[in-house]
Amino acid sequence: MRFSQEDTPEGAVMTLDGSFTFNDFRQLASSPARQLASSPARQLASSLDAMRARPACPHILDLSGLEFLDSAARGMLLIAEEEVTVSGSSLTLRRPTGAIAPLLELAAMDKVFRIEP
Amino acid sequence: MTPAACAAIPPVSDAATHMLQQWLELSEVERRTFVALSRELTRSSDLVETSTLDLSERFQNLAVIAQGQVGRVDMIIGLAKSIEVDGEAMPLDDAMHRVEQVLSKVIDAILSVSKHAMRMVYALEEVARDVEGSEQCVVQIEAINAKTRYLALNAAIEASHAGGAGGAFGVIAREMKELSAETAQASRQVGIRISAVRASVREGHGVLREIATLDLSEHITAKEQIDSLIVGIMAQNNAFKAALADTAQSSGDLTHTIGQLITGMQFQDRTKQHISQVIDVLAVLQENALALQHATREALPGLARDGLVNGDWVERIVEKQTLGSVKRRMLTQLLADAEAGPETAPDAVEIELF
Repeated sequence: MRFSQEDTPEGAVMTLDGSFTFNDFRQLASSPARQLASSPARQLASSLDAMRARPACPHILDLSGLEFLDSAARGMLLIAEEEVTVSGSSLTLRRPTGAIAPLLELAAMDKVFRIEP
Repeated sequence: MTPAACAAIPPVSDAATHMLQQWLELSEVERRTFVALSRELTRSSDLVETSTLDLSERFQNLAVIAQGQVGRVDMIIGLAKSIEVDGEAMPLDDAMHRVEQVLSKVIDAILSVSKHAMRMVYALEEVARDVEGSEQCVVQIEAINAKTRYLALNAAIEASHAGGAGGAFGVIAREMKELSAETAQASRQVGIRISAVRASVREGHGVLREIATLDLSEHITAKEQIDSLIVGIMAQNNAFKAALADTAQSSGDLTHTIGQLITGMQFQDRTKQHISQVIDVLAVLQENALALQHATREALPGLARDGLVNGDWVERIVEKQTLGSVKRRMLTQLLADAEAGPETAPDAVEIELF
């Protein structure tokens, strides 16, 4: 999975491209395990830290470039949402396309996340 | 004209007598024809009445059957609206909603498994990190122990150089050597246990990975297929109910129409009354003809005897009849002035009489 981040006045915008699978779990790890992560993973983990550091902000996960996510990835998204919510922020999934959008809908993730078309 | 009035008739000529004889015969033919027609009308009226009653009874049976059909269709509509679950009727909409709820719970459970499996993965990552830290500690202990053995060896050498004065120092050196050996033994045991923990963590990590990455997309998309099936079933059920409602409406209309038919068949009563009145008129005509015949014969005793009929007149009347049974009865009445008996072989009398 490729990752990039942009900070806006409203909140952070993280973009996920490619395939999001179990192998990317360290990128969303909590602080101690994150120390084992690779450089891109540290960037993503830092973004989560940045989100937590900005309470009550509407953060965005841009999925327009995401082509695949497996069950582990869905679990990781739910964990990220929980961690961000603890700080009073929200996590919006933006522009899921292709097979991702119906999969998110079927998995009833629209009940957990706000999903922007 | 009354018989009293006829008593004053003066003598008549032979020609007039002949004509009177003809008129008497015609009157007799007409009288017998009136009788025959009365019987035919009575027979027809009875036939219409019997047939009408039979038809009415059949239509009433049909109405009962149609009404039963309405009830059965209503029952089917009721059955189509619900299914029996645990001995209780449940509306089909509720049943489908319950299926959707169950499916949603299954999906929620699938997602929950993925999430908790990943939480466990992260927890095991923490354990792995702690195990690695423990291994570093063991390495440090082994390094310290190596230095301890080295010190013990040096102490033993120095005690030997000191001779008798170094005895106590030698004891300490041996103790240090034994302590080092025990430490090395403990360190090896810790290393073995840490390796076992590392292997268990690696195994647990692998299991969780399998759980977390188990491809449940097919199961999730199965919900979509089941949703489509439910929509299809509901659509079919609605169409089924609509068709049944139409059927119930048609059955109701049929029952109503049959009721109207039964009511309409009361024409038979009016027809019977009309025919009865015609028969009464014919009876009066017959009596009048008979009375006139008697009065004429009393006034003119020289006329021919009673009961003579002209065969040509009879034939001209009967030849208009196309039904064999009617013709037979007419012939019997006109020729024999009697009611025909029960029918035997068709047209047998007719053949015999002509």
